Amino acid sequence: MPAALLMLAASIPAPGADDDAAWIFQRLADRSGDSTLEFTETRKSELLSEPLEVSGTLHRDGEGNLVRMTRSPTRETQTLAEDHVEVRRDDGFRRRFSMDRAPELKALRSALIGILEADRNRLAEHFRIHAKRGEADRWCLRFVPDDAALAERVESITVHGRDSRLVRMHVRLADGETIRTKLQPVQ
Amino acid sequence: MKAGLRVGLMLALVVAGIAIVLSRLSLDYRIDAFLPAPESASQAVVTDQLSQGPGGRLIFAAIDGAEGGRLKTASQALAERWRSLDGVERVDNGIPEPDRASMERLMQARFVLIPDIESRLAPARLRQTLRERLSELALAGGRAEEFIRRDPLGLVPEIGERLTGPGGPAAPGDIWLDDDGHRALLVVTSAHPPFDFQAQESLLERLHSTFDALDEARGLQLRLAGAPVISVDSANRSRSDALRLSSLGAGFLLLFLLWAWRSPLLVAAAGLPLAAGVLCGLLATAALFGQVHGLTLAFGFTLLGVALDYPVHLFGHAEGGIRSSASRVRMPMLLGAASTLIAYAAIWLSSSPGLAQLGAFSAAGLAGATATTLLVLPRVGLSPPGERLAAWRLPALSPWVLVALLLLVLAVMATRGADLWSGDLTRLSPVDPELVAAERDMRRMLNAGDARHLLVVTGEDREAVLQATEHAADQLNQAQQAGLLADWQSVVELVPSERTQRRRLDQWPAPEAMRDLLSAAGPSFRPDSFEPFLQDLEDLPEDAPVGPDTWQGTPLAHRVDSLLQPTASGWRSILIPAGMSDPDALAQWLDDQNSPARLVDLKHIAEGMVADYRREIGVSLAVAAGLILGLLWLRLRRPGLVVRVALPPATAVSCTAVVLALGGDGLTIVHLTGLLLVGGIGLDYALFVHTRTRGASEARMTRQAVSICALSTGGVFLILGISEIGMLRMLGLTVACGVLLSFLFAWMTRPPLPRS
Repeated sequence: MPAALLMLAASIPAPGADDDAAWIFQRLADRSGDSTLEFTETRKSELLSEPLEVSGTLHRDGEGNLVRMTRSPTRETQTLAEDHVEVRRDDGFRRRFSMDRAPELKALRSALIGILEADRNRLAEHFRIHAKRGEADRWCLRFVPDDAALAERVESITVHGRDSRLVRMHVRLADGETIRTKLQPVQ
Repeated sequence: MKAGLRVGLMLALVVAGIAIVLSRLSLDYRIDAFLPAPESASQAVVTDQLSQGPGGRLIFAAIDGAEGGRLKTASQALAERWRSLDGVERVDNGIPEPDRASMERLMQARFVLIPDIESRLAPARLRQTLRERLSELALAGGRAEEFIRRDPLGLVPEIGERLTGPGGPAAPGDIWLDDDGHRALLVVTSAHPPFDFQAQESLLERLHSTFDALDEARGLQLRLAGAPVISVDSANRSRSDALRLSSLGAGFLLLFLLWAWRSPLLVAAAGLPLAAGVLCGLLATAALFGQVHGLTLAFGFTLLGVALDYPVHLFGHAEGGIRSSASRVRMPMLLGAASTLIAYAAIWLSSSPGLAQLGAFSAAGLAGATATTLLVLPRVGLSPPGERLAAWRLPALSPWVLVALLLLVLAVMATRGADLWSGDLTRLSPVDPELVAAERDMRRMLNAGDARHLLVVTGEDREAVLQATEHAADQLNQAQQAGLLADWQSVVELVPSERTQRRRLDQWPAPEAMRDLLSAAGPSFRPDSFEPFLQDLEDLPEDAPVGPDTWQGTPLAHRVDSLLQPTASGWRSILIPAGMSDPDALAQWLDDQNSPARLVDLKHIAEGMVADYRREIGVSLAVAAGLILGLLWLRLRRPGLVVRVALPPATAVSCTAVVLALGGDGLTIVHLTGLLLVGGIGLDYALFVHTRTRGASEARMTRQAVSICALSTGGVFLILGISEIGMLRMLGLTVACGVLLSFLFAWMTRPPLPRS
């Protein structure tokens, strides 16, 4: 009996958690202006003596893809579509590869598009969402992938924001690596 | 009845013999056996390409019925299943298959397969390359690490991309879609040679059944196109029509002869010489060639049609008993058979193995049929038939009319000359224009070249040919910029010449120097990151490591073999052009540049070969005609009689030839076969009419017999002549028309009866 009560208590969302999520998504929906963001992504690699930094801008295009236009390490346009990633460079280089080969990109794309569109329901289709509101309008959203295959590679995606702005995003991979991205609106 | 039993037994024995021999002999269906032996380098390319070229082995597949993602999954799943099928050499669908063996060899060979080495190692370029590796690391993470260690310059993906099958329309790395994006396209390379109908047919069936059983393809449609599809469809249509019409023809023949003789026994006995002829022909072919070509059987059977007339003559002159008939018909029959044998022997001497076989089969068969008619049938104990055909009269014609007609026709033939002949081989078999259009469409969308034009480079040895090919490839680069062609495939992308390989090996710096270059260009990389690459560089051999053998055991092997071949006089390399705006302009441009590469138009050369071929056969037959005249003179003695005997068949053959040439689109080799048969039959009629009409009763018997021959043969071939299949129709009309004319000419110029 006590165990059942405990489980019952645990399954009821903590008071305020749902409110937090609603408040956060309301804030996100309020974002005005274009949804182009500046980003700087940092990740480690065994091959590199220092963490790798990728910087550029990202936005959604008319077809629902997430487009990253990077300045460094190379000038590229990376289009993240639902099932593939296409890379284009100024010299005419073009290559496409399947999303299946890069599950963390898939998760990142889903999460970012969901957030940029403030579409809670869409995010809930792919992730379990944990929301927490802090002080001074700071907040944190944590996404854990539902899909088992994806969960094997990506442990969670955490997005930190303040008011209507996105501040940073962490993609935690199952093997322990973390991809950190700083975000800010384009000046 | 004793006679009936004997006939039945003999027929059964012969048919059993035929069945046994057929089951032991391997039946061949490859059309290239009927091609003439090549006489020039270009012709050698044509025969090679026709018998095993890659163009004839490509099967194009289109999947439709869904959009985007579903098409893609279906295409991937299908490609995977198809790759595991027997008889499939490779399947391309746009997504390069992660083929272990090929990738490993590419990795080993990368240092000598890549051009422009010095510019790649320039500091600015090296920096950019390593930044691109950083980008790949960012996108693909840990998975990219191992590749980058071994191949920091990205050589293998670059080489792999240049090798990806025919160029696809979409972005590289994605499945091929048609122009509207509604269909997914795949290309299957069959392992079977183009004319192996049976193997191709069974492969096509398996491709379809695999598709039908695929979950991902539920509700979608598959459409196949390409040369194998066209030839299998064509062969099936020919076969079914041929069967239908032969059965009809055989039925007509049986009924007619039954009506004429009112004796099923006689009809059965009449089949004996033909059956014996087939058996003799098969035995001779087996003994001399070891196998039998399917077309030999088909055409051989036709040529033996003259043997159907022999029992008719035998029974026709059998008033006093069949034995006495045999002695009466012996002379004209033997003379006719010997003359026809000479003609068939002329074909036997042809340079194509298929035609030689046909000649041997027909000659042996005819000899067997004649022997059976003269030696076996009289001893069976048959009773002769009564007369059936009502008396009729045909106006008499002076032989000079025939002479005039013959001269007129020969004059027409002389003035028309080459117009008479058609080299268009596509008229011979039924080709579904929809299938042809589908293939052309898919080739265009996939940039697969047009299967008709090739660039050929020849040389004394392999190294010379490879160097010449590299030179040609440089020239093609310029041609490409001038807009003369879009792309091409050549063997030097996989097998560079030894000279080029050595040059490239020299251009790579020593491992220590390379290490310095890399650390200067990519300071963010750890110093030991590229050890595997540097180790490979250290292990490079002194001399050219890549040859055609390098690719054995990988799917790329067949590609190398089809683009680089030894020939009788050295080596040959083939470049496959794609997207040519104007082939003649390219040929001219190459000529102006003194290029080692020659543009070969397969169709053009094939037609030239057929024309040469016809000339060769024409000469043989002309010689045969001379010999026949000589033989006739030897036996008949009187020159006047020889002319009167030779005139009707000669005139009939020439008239038929001209009528069909001018009325149709020109004569083909099938017409020629038919005309040969007409000549043999016509000579027979003429011999009987001019040597066996010495008395009223003999004349009556001859008239009866020859009429039955003409009606039966004419009827059977007229039935064939209604076929939609070009080959059958040509044969049928030629023989029906020729037989009618032979009969008319022979009978209308018969010698007048001696007044008693």
